[in-house]
Amino acid sequence: MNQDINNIDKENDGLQDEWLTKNLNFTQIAPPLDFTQKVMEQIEVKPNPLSDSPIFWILAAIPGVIILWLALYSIGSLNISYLDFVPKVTNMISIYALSKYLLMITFCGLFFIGMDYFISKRLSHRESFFSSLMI
Amino acid sequence: MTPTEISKLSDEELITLVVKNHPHAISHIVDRYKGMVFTLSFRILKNQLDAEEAAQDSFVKAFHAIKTFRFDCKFSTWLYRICYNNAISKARVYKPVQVDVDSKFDLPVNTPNALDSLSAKDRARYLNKAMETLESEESALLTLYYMDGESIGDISAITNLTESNVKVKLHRGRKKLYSQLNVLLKEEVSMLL
Repeated sequence: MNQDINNIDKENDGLQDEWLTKNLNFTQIAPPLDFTQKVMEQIEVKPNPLSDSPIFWILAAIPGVIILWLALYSIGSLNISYLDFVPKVTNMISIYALSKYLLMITFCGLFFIGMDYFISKRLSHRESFFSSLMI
Repeated sequence: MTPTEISKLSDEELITLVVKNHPHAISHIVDRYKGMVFTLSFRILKNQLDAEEAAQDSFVKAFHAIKTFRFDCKFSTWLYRICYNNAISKARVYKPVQVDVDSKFDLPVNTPNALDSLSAKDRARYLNKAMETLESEESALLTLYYMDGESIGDISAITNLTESNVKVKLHRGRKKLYSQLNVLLKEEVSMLL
C-alpha cells in the first residue's frame, strides 16, 4: 500500500485505501502482445533506405568521380617529377567532358529507375520489373 | 550478458546498458514498464488505439532522451512524466469523452462491500468503467497513487501540479469514483442485498 496514504483528505468518501490499492491493481490494462517489438522497431537505428537503391550509388558515385578528378588535377599541378603521368590523365579527360559523361550516366540511370518504378507498380507482386525479367 | 541476467538488474544498471545501446536492456525496460505506461495513457486518452500510440511515443521519446536522465529521481517518475505530458497533449487534440457524475452523489449503497461479492474479473470491469468516467487528470492521479504506489511528491513531479493540488484532485477523484461505482452497481447491489 502507498506509504503516503495519510497525506490525502478522504473523510466520508466511502472508499478505503487498502480496498482501492488491491482492486485498482486488477484494472491494469495489458498492452498488445507486439507492443515491445513495435517500440524496438521505432528505436532501432535503421540504415538509410536509399543505401539499397541504385539512386544511392549514382548519387554517391558522381561526387566521388569529381573529387577524384580534382585530387588528380591538384597533384598534377604540383609538378612532382615521379608523378608526371598525372597531368596527362587530367588533360586527357577535361572537367567539361567528365561532367558531360557523368550527367549522361545519371540521367540514363534515373530514367531506368523511374521506368522500373512505374512498371513495377502495375505488377501484383511489386517486384522490380527488370529484376523479374532477369529471373 | 544473458537475457535472464539482464532481467535481474536494477533500473539504474539497465539504464547504464541502454546508454551503451544494449538491445536486450531496452526491451527489458519496455517490458518492465509497458503495463503502467499503457494504463496511464489509457486512463488519460480513454481509447485503446490512442493509448497504444501514446505509450509507444512515450518510450521512444524516453529512449531518445535517456542520456539526459541524471538519476536525480526514480526512473519510473521520469518515464511517467514523459508519458503523462505526452498523453495530456494528445488528449487536448482528441478531447476524450467523459461522463458527468457530480449530480449522482450520495447514493446510500455500501459500494466496496457490494463489489467484493463480485468476481475479481467483474470487479475490474466495473472499476474500469467507473475510471473511464473520471476526468483524465483525476483518473491518472488515482492510477499513479493507488496502482503504482507513487508518493504525493513524485506525482507532483510527474504532473507538474503542486502537492496540495494533487491531494485535492485525488480526494475529488476518489469521491467521483465512489459515486460512479454506486451508479454502476445500483442494480447489482439491489439484487445482492
